[in-house]
Amino acid sequence: MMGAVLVAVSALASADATVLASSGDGSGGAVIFGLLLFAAGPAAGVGTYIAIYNRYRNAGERYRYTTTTDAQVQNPRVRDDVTTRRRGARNARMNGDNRGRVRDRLRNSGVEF
Amino acid sequence: MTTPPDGGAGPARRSWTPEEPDPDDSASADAAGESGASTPPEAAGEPAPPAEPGPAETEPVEHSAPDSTDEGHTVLDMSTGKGVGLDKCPKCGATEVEHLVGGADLRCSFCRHTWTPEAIDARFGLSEGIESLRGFVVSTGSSTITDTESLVTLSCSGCGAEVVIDTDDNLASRCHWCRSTLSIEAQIPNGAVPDGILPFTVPKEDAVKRIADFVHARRMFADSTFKKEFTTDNVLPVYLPYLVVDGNIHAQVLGEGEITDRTYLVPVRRGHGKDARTTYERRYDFTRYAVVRDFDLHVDDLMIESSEDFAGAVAASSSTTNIVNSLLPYDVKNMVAFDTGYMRGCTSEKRDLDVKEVAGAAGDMFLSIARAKADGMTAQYDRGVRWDAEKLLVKGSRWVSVLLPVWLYSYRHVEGGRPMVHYVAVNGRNGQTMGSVPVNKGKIVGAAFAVGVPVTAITMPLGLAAMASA
Repeated sequence: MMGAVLVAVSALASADATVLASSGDGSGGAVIFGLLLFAAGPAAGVGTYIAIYNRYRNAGERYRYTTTTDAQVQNPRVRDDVTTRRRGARNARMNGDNRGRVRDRLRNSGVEF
Repeated sequence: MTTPPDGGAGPARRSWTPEEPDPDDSASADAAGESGASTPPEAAGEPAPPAEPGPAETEPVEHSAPDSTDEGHTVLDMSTGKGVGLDKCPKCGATEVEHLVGGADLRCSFCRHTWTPEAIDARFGLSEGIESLRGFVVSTGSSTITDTESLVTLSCSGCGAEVVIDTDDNLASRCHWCRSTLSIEAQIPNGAVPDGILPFTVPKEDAVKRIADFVHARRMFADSTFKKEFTTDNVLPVYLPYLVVDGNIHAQVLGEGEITDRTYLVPVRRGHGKDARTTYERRYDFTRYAVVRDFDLHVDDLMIESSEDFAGAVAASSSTTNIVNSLLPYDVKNMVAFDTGYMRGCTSEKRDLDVKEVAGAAGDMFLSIARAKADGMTAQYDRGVRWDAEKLLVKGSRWVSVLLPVWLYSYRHVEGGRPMVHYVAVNGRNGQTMGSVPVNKGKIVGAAFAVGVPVTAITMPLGLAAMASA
């Protein structure tokens, strides 16, 4: 368990380093780094509680039907139309990316039998 | 619960009237009745003697034949071909039938003849023709529950006695006069008899060991009363009802996706005067696309709980039903025609949800499967995809009911004044084990402090130092 905590702390530290590097502002980066180190202890405690509770209760365990059910795709029709080209974006990922969250229903969702 | 041979069933009970007994059957039945009443075979440690085989017991009993439609559904006739009454060894006619755990074989306890009930997936083509399904196709055992009465009165065709079976818990019972085993294997309209069953292949010793290992690995933070009261004597074999659905679906998912064209570093000047310096930040050029994925989807063997006690949010608020749910899927391709021979020593839950009551849940699951397939068709979008709309048309679905085997340990525990039933369960086919163990929250909080305080002692001074140097 301590190992997991140390891994978490080192992950936080590496995140801090990334922030430092990307911000380029020495004083701002050091403050953020300090705050994250400040919060690492309580975060480790909360993480420990959640990890033990989940191991005992398994409240998130469910039938993984999206990956275990035999489902064959037939007659795929694909459209990919260019709408915009953009230059100089700061983020590596698009806003609102929801790929992989297949159980979340969208606002425009409908099933008809 | 039984009634004497001359006793009538109560008005609330559903009575199943077998065909007229022929004189030969009556004679043999009388003989069986006398021998059974005077020297019950079980008391003597012997299996019940074979009742005289006769055509009357193997014919389907009178019950309303399935219509071509059931509330607008097309009925898939999966009648067992068996009836209600004596369930006999096909060789000698004895009613003492047992399941040989480890496979699907049944064995006659009297003559040791072994046989395997028919596998129904191939016989009824349940893995075929999904692309041509239209509307609701509902099997005999999944048809709408029109009779909510649990008590069914059987007339013993061995001796004429009337025996009442509570189908909430049992689908077979022993005639109290002639000791023959009576069973219900025709799909009656109260949801008790499924089309198929997957017999247990994991033996009790194995299941008990898996459950004990699961609990013992979680003793440190378990509730102290639970630790004292845990015993594997409470591990029981249970058959739970499910509906297995195939879907012929058309899906359309719409959204936007982005593909990176170029990444590069740009100089950024920060600060003023002598503090000014230049750093580099990464930038991205990308193209945005309107994305449409439109396809047919043929889903085979999606499983849905059909007992209210194990399905839905209400059940989940008072018990850890997600544990049983997590044991899915089962190898339903191997299900065999329902036979009460598999039920000896087991309890079972009756199906009390109809197709129309679980169709919404099935549609939601189909939609999630369709989304997963659409995701798999967008690998080129390295910056991600934002789906905005999803539409699903279920052109046709086919529904079959099945009993699935679970080794189940349950424990009722009160948490914050609210009762909660915890399950530890083993998939009766492949041994997969999952469970919920009631916890001592105080101990977990202690462990959290034991980890959090030392980490804080190390990182907090470092953090303060970092902020002070800024």
